[in-house]
Amino acid sequence: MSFSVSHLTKKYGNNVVLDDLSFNMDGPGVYALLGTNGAGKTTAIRMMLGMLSRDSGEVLWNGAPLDTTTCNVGYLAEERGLYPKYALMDQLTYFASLRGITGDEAKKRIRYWAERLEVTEYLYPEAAAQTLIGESRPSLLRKRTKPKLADQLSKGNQQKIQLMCALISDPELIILDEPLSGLDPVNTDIFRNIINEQIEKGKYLIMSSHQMATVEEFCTDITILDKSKTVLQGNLNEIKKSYGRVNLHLKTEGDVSAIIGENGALVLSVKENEYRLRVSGEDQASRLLSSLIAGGATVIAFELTEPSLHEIFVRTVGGADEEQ
Amino acid sequence: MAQMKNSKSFEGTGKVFRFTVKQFFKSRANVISFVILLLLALASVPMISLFSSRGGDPMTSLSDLETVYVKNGTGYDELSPASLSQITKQYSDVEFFGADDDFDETELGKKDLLVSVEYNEENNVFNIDVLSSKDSSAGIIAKEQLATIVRDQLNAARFVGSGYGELLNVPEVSVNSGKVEDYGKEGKDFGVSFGVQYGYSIIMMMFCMLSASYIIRSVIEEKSSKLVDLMLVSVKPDSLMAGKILGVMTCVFTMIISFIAAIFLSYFVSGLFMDITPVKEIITSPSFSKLLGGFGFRTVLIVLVSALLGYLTFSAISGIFGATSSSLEEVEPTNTAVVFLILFVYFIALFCGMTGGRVMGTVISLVPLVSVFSAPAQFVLGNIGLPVLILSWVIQAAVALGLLKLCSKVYSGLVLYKGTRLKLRQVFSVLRGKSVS
Repeated sequence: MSFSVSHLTKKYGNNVVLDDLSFNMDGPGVYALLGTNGAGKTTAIRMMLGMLSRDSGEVLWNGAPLDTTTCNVGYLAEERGLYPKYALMDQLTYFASLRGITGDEAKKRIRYWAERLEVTEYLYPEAAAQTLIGESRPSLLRKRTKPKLADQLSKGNQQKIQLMCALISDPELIILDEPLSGLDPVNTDIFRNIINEQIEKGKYLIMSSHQMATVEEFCTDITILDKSKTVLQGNLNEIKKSYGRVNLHLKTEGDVSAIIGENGALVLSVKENEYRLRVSGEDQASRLLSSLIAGGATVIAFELTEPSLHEIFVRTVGGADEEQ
Repeated sequence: MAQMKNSKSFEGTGKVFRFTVKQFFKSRANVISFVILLLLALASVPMISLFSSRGGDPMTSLSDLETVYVKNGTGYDELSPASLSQITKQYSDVEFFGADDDFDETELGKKDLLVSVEYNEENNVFNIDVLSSKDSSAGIIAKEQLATIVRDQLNAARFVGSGYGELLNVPEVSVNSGKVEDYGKEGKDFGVSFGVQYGYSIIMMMFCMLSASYIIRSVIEEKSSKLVDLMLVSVKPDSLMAGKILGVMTCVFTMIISFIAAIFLSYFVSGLFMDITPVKEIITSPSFSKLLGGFGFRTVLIVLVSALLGYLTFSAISGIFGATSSSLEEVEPTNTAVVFLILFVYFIALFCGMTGGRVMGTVISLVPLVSVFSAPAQFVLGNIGLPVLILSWVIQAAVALGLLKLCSKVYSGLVLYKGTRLKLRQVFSVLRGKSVS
């Protein structure tokens, strides 16, 4: 299987909102679409799914134009939404039926995902009310067993229901637009586990996010968009390698500012003898370590790493802005 | 411009339809409105009967009459004075006499009635008119009994040897009753025209307004709740809109048919326990009789086809208006705009329709939108014939189809649009295939 996007372009009048986006996924994994606000990520996703018309370009799944009739797609939209006044179970059953999952199979899958995402008490309130047997106030029991509506849920729980909608059809291609935004750490972990599980199952995932650490954890390839244009693209490891090992984390017993100054390394931050430094490469780092030892400093931590995706993103987008 | 092709563009319509209907009747607000509507319908007949002054006379039975004059213009022997006398003999001593075209209605006595049965070739309808003198003591029950006997005789006569296949083409029977001095005057024609046009168009107006408000709310709610992105992965905008329109149509039709059925139920049940003469007088009034048209199969068919075309026309307009808005705050202004449009067209149909006349009747039956409120009424009034009515339907169907295509295009172009309500100029640019950010 393969997923390919080529030369996607979208204009509103003279305003270009996506300019010639192209990328390929030749195998399962996670592809990250990164960019600043308004860079064109959501527009690109909507165009891939055929929700927005294209001024040019094509999107292929296994060599054929991508369509919901040819590809089982799961989509978690950036703008979360559910019918606020309809029962949650009705909505899930409806979305499942739209994806061709009906009857007992739909019920089975809803139950599975409700348990995985820990939302059974909202979808099966009668079961949750069993714990209240013996409750002397019938009005409270009635209230607790009433079907839950979307607007009675927190944002995080609504997001879980939406993820259920996206995954209910066991899709081959999963598109997650800002999947972890607004989640607390517990729910973030639940989502991360599910994403990892989908990767292990060999699914194709396209993810858009502002949370670089999250993307870095999952993705193998990235495209960074800035003001509708592709400013950086490729395999994440290779991109990192191209920047070299330039980040140095240093922790010492005493103040070593003078030695660092002599070495010429750039101090990014310092807090209680813990330094974050930028060096030109491994040679400069080795020279600094030698100077520290020669100067009698007690070194607790000395770690030389490649730049993080966050730094690459900031440098790339910042650089692109400066060029303009 | 590359576009994703989808050969199954209406796939999912049935699912959207079922969900729309299910949620409509699950909504507490809708159920309460529905129940109130039914209660009002059930209470209507007893309430009108209780609070209306009785217009009937002391003589309320056929047996209280002395003479009935029969003007038989049909040629059926079953409607001769002798035949009618035979039928009524078992419970009445009333005498039947024939009446010719020279019969002077003003000579009718206090306990006399004139029944005239004529075939109107132009409108393909039998008219049964039951007339009494100015100072008649004959009440509505007596007239109704006589009209029923004559109508049954007429039907028995003309359906002898008639197969089911011919039923579609048989003339309808229109029953009118009144007093001689009111009959045939100019004022009476105006009253009938007004009554029929007003009655039909107000029902259509309510139907269109009710449907429009549901469709607008449904479209804008979906857009404002940011659900559309999720929906569009599984279903195309065309299917989404088609499912909604059909779903709302089913719900509103169900409500209105239930409302009418509840009125009938109220009429028949109330009649068993109380005097409902005032309601009977309303029903047998000339304009009401014409409007009901005896509830013949053809009348029901005409009303259903017209209502369906009218519904589709205004649903498409509502869909277009709904698509141009994206926040719940815009539901009311959008709804108001459509209501004003419906009212504007309704008043044109009403004012032009009640003035009567064949030329005006034909014009308003053929003008798109206005014809929704006027064509069937003008047909019942005899201002247009069946060919003009069918031509009106063809034009209405073409307009409805065009508007539905337009609605589909606007909805598809604006389904993800978020912002203030679009101006007409921007809607046209969407129709030309341009994107609106």
